[in-house]
This record gives sequence, C-alpha cells and structure tokens, in this order.
Amino acid sequence: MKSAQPHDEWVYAFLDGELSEQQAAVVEAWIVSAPENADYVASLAILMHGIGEEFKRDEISNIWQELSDLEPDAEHIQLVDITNRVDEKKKLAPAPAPAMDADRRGKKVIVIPRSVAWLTAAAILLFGLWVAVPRIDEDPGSGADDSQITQAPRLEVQEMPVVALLEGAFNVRWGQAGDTGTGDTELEAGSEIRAGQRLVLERGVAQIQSHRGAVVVLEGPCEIAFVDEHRVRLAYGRIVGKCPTSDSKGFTVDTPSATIVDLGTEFGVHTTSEGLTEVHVMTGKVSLAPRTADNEASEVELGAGRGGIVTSGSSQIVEIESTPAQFVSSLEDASSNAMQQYVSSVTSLNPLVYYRFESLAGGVAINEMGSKYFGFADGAVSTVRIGSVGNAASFSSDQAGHIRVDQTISELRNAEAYTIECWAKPNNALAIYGSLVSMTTPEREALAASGLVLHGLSEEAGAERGLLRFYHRNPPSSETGTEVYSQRRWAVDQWMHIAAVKDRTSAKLYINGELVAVLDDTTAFPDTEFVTKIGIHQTQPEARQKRPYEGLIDEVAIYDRALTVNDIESHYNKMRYLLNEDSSRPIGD
Amino acid sequence: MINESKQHESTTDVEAFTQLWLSNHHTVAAFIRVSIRNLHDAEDLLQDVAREASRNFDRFDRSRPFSAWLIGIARYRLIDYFNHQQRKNIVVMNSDTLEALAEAHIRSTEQADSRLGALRDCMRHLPERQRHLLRDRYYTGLSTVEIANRTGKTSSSINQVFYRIRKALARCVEDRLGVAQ
Repeated sequence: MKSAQPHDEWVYAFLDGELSEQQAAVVEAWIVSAPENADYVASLAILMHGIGEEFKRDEISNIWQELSDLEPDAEHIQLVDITNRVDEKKKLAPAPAPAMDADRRGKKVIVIPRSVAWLTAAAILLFGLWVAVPRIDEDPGSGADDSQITQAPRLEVQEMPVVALLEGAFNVRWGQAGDTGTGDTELEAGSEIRAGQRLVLERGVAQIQSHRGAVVVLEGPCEIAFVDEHRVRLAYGRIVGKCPTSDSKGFTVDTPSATIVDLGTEFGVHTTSEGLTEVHVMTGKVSLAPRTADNEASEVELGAGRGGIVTSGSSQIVEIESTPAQFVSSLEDASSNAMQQYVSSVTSLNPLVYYRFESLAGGVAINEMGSKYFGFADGAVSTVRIGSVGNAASFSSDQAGHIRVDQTISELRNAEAYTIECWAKPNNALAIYGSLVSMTTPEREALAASGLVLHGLSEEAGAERGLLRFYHRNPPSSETGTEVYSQRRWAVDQWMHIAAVKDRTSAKLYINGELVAVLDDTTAFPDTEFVTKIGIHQTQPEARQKRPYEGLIDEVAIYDRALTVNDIESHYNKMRYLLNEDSSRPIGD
Repeated sequence: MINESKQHESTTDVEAFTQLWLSNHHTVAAFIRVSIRNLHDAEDLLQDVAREASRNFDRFDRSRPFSAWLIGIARYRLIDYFNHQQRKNIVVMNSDTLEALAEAHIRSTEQADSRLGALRDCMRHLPERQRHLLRDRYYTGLSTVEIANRTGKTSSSINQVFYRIRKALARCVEDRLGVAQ
C-alpha cells in the first residue's frame, strides 16, 4: 500500500527523533510503503551517523597522535585515560547528561567490550589507522573538486515575504512554528504569516486572512503552511477556506493526496495523517484533483452541498454529500459560547443524568437534569480546570476515588434502548483495568448490568490490552451478555469522546464520533435495582473487581434512548477543539 | 600443541572479528541510531551488539554478509529494548518500520563507506559556525532546544537551520557519489 510522501523536513526530523508521535507515524507509514523509501531513510541515517563520527574521528585522530608517543607498557592505562578524556571534553558542553553511572560513561567511546582488553586496543589501533590513512593521502589542493564547493550549503536564513495575517484565535496552543526563522513561536492576533512558515496548531481555532483576501479557519490539531498568498499546504487537520473577493478566487489548498482550487466559494477540507482528503463545499464551487505520481488524474468540479474523498496515491474521487457541520467555519462560531452549545445540545436530548463536574463541593456531583440521581464523591476525586470547558473530575486510583449514585436510575429499568456518553482522558496506561461507568446490582455489587471499562496497556491486560469495552448484561451477571470491544487502542493523556449505545437490536461503541464496534443483542436493560459508579467498578472493601480508573472524566450523560450517529458526531465535533490536544492517532493504531 | 593451535585460532578469530566489525559497524550504528531516539541508549545498545557479536562470532556463518548478521542481532536487541520502553508507556517504532529499515541498512552496507568518505569531503567545506552546530548536536548530544537556548535563537529557527545544513550535506554527498560513479 502506498503512503503519502511526508515533508522531507519531517524525514530529517524523524532521524533526529524530534517528531511528534503523530508525525513520526506518518513517516513510518511512508517508510514501510516502499523499499526505496526505506533505502532513502537508511542513506540519510548513515549520513547523520557519519556527522557524529566525523567529530569523534577528529577526537580519536588526536588521541592516536598522542598514543604513538606513549611507552608500550603504559598503553592500557593511557587507553583508559584517553577514553575518559574524550568524555571529559564532551562534558565541557553544558549538555544534560542522562542518569548513568561513571563506569558506563567511561565505556562510551570504545564500543568493543572492555573485557577483551587487547581486542579493544587492536580495534582502536585499526580504527586509528583507518582514520589516519585517508588523511595522509588527501591533498586538499588536488583532491577537492572546487565546483562542489559552490554547492556547499548556503545556510543563511532568508526572510520570506509576509503573505497573510492572523486575524484571531480561540483557545489555541501552537506547536513549533515560525519555520522561516523569524522566531515567532507565539502567534497572536495581528501576527504576520510568512511564505513557507509552518503553522502547527495543536488545539483551538485560528483565523488567517491572506493578502489576497482568502480567509482560512484552522481547527487544531492541524498543520499548514502558506506557500504564497494564494496557496496553502495542509499536512493534516481541518480547515475552512473562504474566498469572498474576486482577487481571492483561485485560492488553492494542497494536501498530501489532493489539490483543491476555489472557484469562488466556501469549503471545508479535512486531511488525515494517512493521506485521506475530504472536501465539503458549503457554497459556490471548487475543483478537486487527486495528486498522483504521474499527474494524470482528472479533476472534478464540486458544487454546493457536494463533497469528495481522495485517498493517498489514488486517482479516484469518491463523491459524497457535503456535511458542513463537521467544520468550524469562523472564529465567531468557535468562540461564541462553544461550551454552552455543547451543554444545550446534550440537555436538548433529555438525558436521565448529566454530570458536568463543575463542582464537587460537599462531595456532591450535581445532576444537571434534575434534583434526583445526585452522585457522591468518595476517596480521591477532585475537580480540575480544563480551559474554557470548565471543570472535569479527576480520579486517582491509589485511593480508589469514585463517584457513586446509590439511587437506581429507574427509567433505565427495562429500557429497550439507552446510551452512556462521556469524555475521558486516562493517564495510567499500566493499570490492568479502569472502570469509567459501572452499573451493578446493589447487593455486594456482585452482578454487572452495564458499563464501560478501559483495559490497560500493560501485558497483564491480556488479549484485550488497550481496548475499551462496553458490556451489557441481561440478566445481570459477571460473565454473560454482550461485550463490545473497540477495535483500536485508547491513548494515554488524550481526551476521547465515548458513546456506548444500546438499541433494540445491537450494542455499539463509538469513539471520537466513529463507530468502532457493534454486536447484535436484542435484550433490554435489565429490570433490576442497580448502583451507578463513575471511576470504579466495585467499591466494597472485599470486592475483587474494583478496577479503579485514573485520569479525568467529564460530561457524563446517560440517556434512556439510543443516540443517533449524528447526535454523537455533533457532540464530538462541538467539544473536540476545546478539549483535544491530539486525538488523531490513538496509541497502537 | 592443541592449546597453541586453539590459541592461534582464537587470535585469528579476534582479528577477523575486529576487521569485520570496523568495516560494518557504521551501518549497524546508523540502524540503531535511527531506531532509538535517545543517543545514549543507542550507544549502549551498539555496545551490547558488539559484545554479543564478539562472544558469538564462532556461530557466524562466514558465507553470509557480516552486516546482515550484525543487524540481525541489533534487531533482536531493539525489540527487547522496545518491549521494555513500551512497559514504561513510551511510544516506540512500529515493528514493520523496524523490519523495513533493517533490510534497507543491509542493502546500504556496500555504499556506507563511500557515503562517509563523501560526507567527510563535504563537511570540510562547511563554514565553522555550521560545524559547531553539528558538533553540538551530533557529537555532544545537545538537543535543538538546548542549542537554541545557547545561541539565543528559537528552537524552530534552529530546526530549520539544521534541516538546511543536512539537506545541503545530503545533496553534496549525492553529487560526489554521482561524480565518483
């Protein structure tokens, strides 16, 4: 399978270990997609290794010179001294040395094991000879090709022209930016954007206007660069392009798999790190053309209400209906009471309980939907501020912190359909289990009715390691019923939106608006008394399955209805740019 | 007589190993370096590979390429290392990527010396300021953030400078290899 060619810059940064996990995944996918890609990376790896070796060679060359002056019987002692001296020189630079004992640092320079001392000496001598010979042979005057000198790197950073202006931003966190060397790591309203400047928006929404009038609304996480005032390169993420003036017509967006040219319109583009590009036209027209190696793919014109999907390396365009709701089309949209919009959307669906965890004063978790089904905090549970979202509940597994609703949510008994929805940001990958929401029969909490549990990333979690499980049991039990496992792993320290939906025929699990698993099940919610717990499965001291969760949980809602895909997508889309810092690639994908 | 013979054989083996190691260790070092982000861990792992290879040199099938054998050892060591890292919840390289890079490094062995020779030439033409930057990064092991702090630049501008230096070096090496061929 072909994979999108990443920026060359990324390939170098990959070799230096300086890419984010998400960027590294893009490069890795590209490496495995073709042997010649791996060969290219290997050739650069040799080069980067060689750069370090060159400096080491200089050092050892000097040592070799000194070594030749030494008495033979002093060789061993001097070798050790020299080894340490090389390290001493390295220590002169204020590099933070990693925790390492002195003995190990002393071995750093010589790779051959010290246990074979004479072998070490031989290696050094041979290496010294290998190093010395080309130096003797080289005549800088005769060997060097002067024409190559002119091709030596021209490294001065040139200032690129300003092509756009950052109009404003909401709840943003920028990644490394200012690639033109201008040093702008903190962008703010009014900041100038230069051609070639890489903008990495880790979260939030930002609005940029090009000097020719095109408006681009970025939604984090995304990465974009203005090629000039009429063209941008979108590496990944969502943007909306608006071209209100005749001068801005023809504004172009390049993604790894497609080129989109505005024909006087408003449109949204979503590109994934895997190279899939979706285009959705809100008004007017755009032309969409796949980017293929032979540049022979034909373009299509898409009108309002239409969209297209292109995958990396493919010349095919799959036409779809446009779904503009998935895009943030202006800064005003993003900033005008975004959180209130989410809350309104949830409450308009009349959940039975809705815990927002804005306060746990007196240990009480208020149910936003009425005066019953309040939760009570026990153990290490607190609230933490999450930007403009407000507070979330923070759970610590050490003291089995949890929130408990002792009163049975009676509307759920015998309900033919129900939904459990929440946002979670787990932070303990090593736990074997972490129960997000659990409903068990009251007596010794022995029998589970329904719930959501994270299986940890440790080996002990077994075959379901790293998965999210939605269980539905009628009658309540410990083993039977339907277990729906996500088909991808959750990610540590990343917010995810979860919706477990049980309708009349099936049990479904959604993560970040996507259906990740479904199984047939025609049973209703069990007709039983039950206790609802958030952040733990069982609370009794003698219980064997406590499964304490560690991390953050927010916006827990339980409905006596099956939410639709649109409801779930809408909830995810309303909150994701407020919460998510980097949710596009769960660990293990 | 038997002891002398064994000793002679052993000495010959060690010499042979040393020579083979010196001819091939750049490839395996580059392979390890590209697979591990931490420079010091990479050095430790290279040392482990050298130790294991020297101890098991009698098992090396001399009809096969030495670099492939070394990279095979390195691959297993890297898998162990990755497993250990994953237990600490540190994201590591995908096993498919590791496999693809192992194969690529085996294929690249023959060209490694000529590449390094060309690189040596190219580096001679680098301005001293750029040499200093490369030395700080690839010999001393400073991160780009640390270099940025030392030079009073932003890390993004330092990253960009590094990209340009390395790109120019890579182009220079390719040009020289092209000329040589």
